[in-house]
Amino acid sequence: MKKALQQRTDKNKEGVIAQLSRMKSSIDWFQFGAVGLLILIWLIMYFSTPHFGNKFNQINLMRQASVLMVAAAAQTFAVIAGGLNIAVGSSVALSAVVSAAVSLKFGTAAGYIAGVLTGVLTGFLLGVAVGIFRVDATIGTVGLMAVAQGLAFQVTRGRPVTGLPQTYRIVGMGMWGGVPILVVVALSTIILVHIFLSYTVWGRNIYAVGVDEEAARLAGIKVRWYKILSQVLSVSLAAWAGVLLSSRINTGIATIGAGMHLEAIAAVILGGTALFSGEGNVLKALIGVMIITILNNGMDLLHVSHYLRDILLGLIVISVVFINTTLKNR
Amino acid sequence: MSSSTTKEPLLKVQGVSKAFPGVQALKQVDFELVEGELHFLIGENGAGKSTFINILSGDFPPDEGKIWLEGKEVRFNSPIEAQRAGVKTIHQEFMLIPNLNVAENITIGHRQKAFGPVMDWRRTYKVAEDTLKKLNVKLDLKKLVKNLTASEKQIVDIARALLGEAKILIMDEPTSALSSGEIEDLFKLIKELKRQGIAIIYISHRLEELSEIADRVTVFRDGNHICELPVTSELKTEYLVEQMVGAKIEDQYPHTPMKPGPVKIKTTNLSFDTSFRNINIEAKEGEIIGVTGVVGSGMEQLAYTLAGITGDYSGDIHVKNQVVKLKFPKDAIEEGIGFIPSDRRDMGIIVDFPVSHNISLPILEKLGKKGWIKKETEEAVAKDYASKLQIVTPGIYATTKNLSGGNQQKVVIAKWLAKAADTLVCVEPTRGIDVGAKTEIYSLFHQMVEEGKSVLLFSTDYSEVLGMCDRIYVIRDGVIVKEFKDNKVSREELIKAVFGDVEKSSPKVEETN
Amino acid sequence: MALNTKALVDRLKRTGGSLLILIVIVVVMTLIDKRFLSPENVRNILRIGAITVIAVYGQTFVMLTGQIDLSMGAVASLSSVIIGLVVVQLGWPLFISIIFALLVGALVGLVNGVLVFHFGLPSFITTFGMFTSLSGFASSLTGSTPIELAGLCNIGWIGRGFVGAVPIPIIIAAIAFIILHLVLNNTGYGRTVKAIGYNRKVALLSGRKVKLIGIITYVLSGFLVGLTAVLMSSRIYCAHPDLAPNLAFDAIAAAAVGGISMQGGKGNLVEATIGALIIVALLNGLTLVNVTTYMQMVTRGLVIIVAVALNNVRTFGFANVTGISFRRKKVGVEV
Repeated sequence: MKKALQQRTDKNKEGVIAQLSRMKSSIDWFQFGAVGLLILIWLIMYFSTPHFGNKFNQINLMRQASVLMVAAAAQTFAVIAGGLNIAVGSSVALSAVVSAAVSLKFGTAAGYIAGVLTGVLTGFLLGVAVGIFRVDATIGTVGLMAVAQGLAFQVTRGRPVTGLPQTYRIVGMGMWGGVPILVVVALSTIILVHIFLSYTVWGRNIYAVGVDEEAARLAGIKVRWYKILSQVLSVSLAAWAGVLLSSRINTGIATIGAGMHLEAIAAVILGGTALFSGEGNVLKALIGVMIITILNNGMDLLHVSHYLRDILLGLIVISVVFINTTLKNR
Repeated sequence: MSSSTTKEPLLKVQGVSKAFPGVQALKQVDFELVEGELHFLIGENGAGKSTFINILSGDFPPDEGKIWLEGKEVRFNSPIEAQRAGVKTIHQEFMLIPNLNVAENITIGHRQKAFGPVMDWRRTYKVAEDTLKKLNVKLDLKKLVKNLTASEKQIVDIARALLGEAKILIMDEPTSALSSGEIEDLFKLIKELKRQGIAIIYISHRLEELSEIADRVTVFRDGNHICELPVTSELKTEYLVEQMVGAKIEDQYPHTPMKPGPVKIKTTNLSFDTSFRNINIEAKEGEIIGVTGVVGSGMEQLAYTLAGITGDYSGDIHVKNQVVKLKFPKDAIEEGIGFIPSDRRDMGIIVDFPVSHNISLPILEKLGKKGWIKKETEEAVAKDYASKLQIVTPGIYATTKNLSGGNQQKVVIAKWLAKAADTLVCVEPTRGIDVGAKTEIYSLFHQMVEEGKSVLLFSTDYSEVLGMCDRIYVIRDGVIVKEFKDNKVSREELIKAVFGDVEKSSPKVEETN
Repeated sequence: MALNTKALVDRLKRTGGSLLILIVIVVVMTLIDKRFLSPENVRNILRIGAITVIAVYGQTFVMLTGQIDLSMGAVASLSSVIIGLVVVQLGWPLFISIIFALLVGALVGLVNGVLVFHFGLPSFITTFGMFTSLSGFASSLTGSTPIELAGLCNIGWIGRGFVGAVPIPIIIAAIAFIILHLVLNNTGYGRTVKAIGYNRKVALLSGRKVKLIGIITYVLSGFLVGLTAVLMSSRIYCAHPDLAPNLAFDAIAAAAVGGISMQGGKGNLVEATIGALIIVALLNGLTLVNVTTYMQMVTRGLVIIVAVALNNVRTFGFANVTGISFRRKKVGVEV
């Protein structure tokens, strides 16, 4: 009511001022800041250690970023659908080990497919819980985190899966005319996800359902199906990230992906996607991904202790959520 | 104004009834609609208008009665069915998808696809544009709906309804959030729609709009169909209001003004946002004052501000001659102000709590020492108020959810009495409550002011205001346009003040361009 | 005292439901392996259950306000490490180190509470972020190695000692139950906690200090986790930086399966206790049958999801949850 009346007066005074103020709200100051931050961090790292600017490191950096990119895409789905996917890291671990284990017996291709399938299956179960039994999506991912992580450990019994077929590492470690294949694959995935979200009816409906279920239902959208779909896609993408990661390190190990839960969330928010707003954009998340990856990479090179990095990661996420929330409430 | 037609009715409703727990919302109502007609539906809050359009929109089927659309009998079991049949509803809250843009919202029921699930954005924009052209409007198609003004959102809603064969358009209070310029635009649109043969059921409190766009008007009261009349120049608003309100007034309102004491609460130059400005009202001890105006006049916002809910206002509020700053609800509560909301389940009571817990909620500190709750004290307090207010409940430990609306509201009142509030700010306190309970609540108000308390009644129920209030302020478009200093006000005078002069068009907002 | 029979019956049905689940688990486990009901195992279950239930009470209080606390595991680790540091590095008596451990827990709770209730941050991600930071912090304090306390102080008696025939943890848990139950049902604080969970708006509009109560609740949760850490550390005779990484999961699973609602307001400590027993018994039984710790982790996750789903069905009815749409929030109040 209040806002309606405010807009009514605004419209009455439709002059330059009102027009300008409406324009201002559509420019994303946050994104400006994020890009600036990205440049700043890159520069800091560049000058902090000679190893950073080195070509090999930059390539390594791009590979690290690629995996996180896909994970961030997974998180974006969850955020658009109105919640969070706290289980990204665990799905990554599970699919990594399944993919590795299967490839041992049936070859790389089968392994990759199996890895993604675990995502589809676990995502479907989660989707049923969320879509049909109305379990809150975020709580569901809390449960999924335990399930996926436990299964991951179970598959490997704590030991890394090694001795994978030769072809397994091609995607993760190979080059294609000077460009890491992993980067190409990851970017292609992102582009596909973007196309899905922005150019298909299914994607658009996911947006619709994420913010206002009632309005979506009234518009004739099958809300339950889309809730299931969002979860399936989110978890499957995380699984895909896991497959890619296992290819990159050429091992299937259940402890990878540990920090990715938070990194993916941080990346998405840093990229400018507000939580619970239904406005998600995978392309935006790329900026956040780069920031996080550069930070990680730099800290690696500077031999920052593993503990300090955890502390930092947690603090970054909280700060980012803080800024996000306070900006939203302004 | 088209005269009443002899066409075959597009929509025919006969004998429709609908009951909810505790209240019979509709009692065998009839209704008729022909092509190209704008049929005004009026009635007070609680008259059954919303229930009626709920049924037509397919939210739920009627308990009894029949509905014919284009001669065929229909029964809608879901909103989708109604929409497919051509009955489109424009809600007050515009059920649009806020994070999608204009074009997408317009085409949401009819996605333009390139192949498979892939969207054809170019055609989406084109279809949206064409639809808007039909309505003679222009909008930025790429804008997200959440960034639109209310009037623009409404246009999108209408455009969406039109896409895909709309036979009947139901509009619920469409002008309550619009400026007069926007209202003119809407009327132009409506005339265009009528010309295209679309029939419109139009619910509004703004009787002055009748002469501009309506062909017929139907009055509902207490769930009954009272009358249906053609809109001609001879039609008097006063007559319609009388029909809306009914003749039986005096018994329902057990209140006579008494000698008021000193001023309890007063505002000077109170303003907030664009909702209201420069409000100067006051209420004395022992008075029941009314503040009334149409939906969207700023009445509700003013009440919220006095209850400390709004918080950042400009101007002053004085309680017992001291300036107070009501930034939060607890500030108002500390000043002895209690708040009785229209939506009690959302803002008045905790439905899952037992009655006694609700009553004791503001006074937990007083139930024992050092934060402890002495159950005997709580029980005694609850029982005391339950009996004083005659709250009908299986026991004070009954879950409040199971009480009738009227009794739930009594629990809210009890809560404030327990807190020894001496000023009550009430917003539509008797909405959705049956007549018997209403009278009981009015008696309560009377008792309270007899004891020297003050009641500020913010209500669009004009009989209630006329029957219960010692003085009445009328608020229109954010300003107090009239103060009736005693309760000897005729219905006509009040209506005139609320709606503005009937011959002129809708109230004007000061345009400062 | 006049009783609301209908509500009481409803509650009994719900609690009875969880009790039934507990009984079923006990029966099934015993059938699978007789050792489950051996006095030694039962004592074990009760002792571990007593320790876990304290953390569950903390999570329950937070959930009753409509929030969640995912930081529990890290808080436990941190408290435990603090005990080790105070005793070993500072050489102070055990009793002081315990106080420190409890204080640390409360302090973290304070931070959580302020972030969630004063600044309005979403509790899932905030407490999860705290979890990561605090885990790192706790590990950094000891370099990931546990601090042996066995010879240095008499820490064992808390977790393994007895008073008469009753193990101390059970006594502590019982005391905690009594105190917390009284707090929840008989104090203004407890009443406000439930009010906030059921309808924060009405609580605020009725003059309750919502923010303050919310913060206190997180402090309480942190404190209880600290207590849990003390008991756990005592049982293993050392301060461990990775003491109970799954604590939050267990607590949430226990609360959910006991019947505490995720939305807030609905639930009580009896349900929490039964829920804790169910989880502990379940995990104990699985261990007995040689189910790997990994699969136990899977079980935890499944329990959470299934329990929440079941709670929804229990509260709203199967058809409502799965099928029909919720149209027009207000039903029966028509304009």
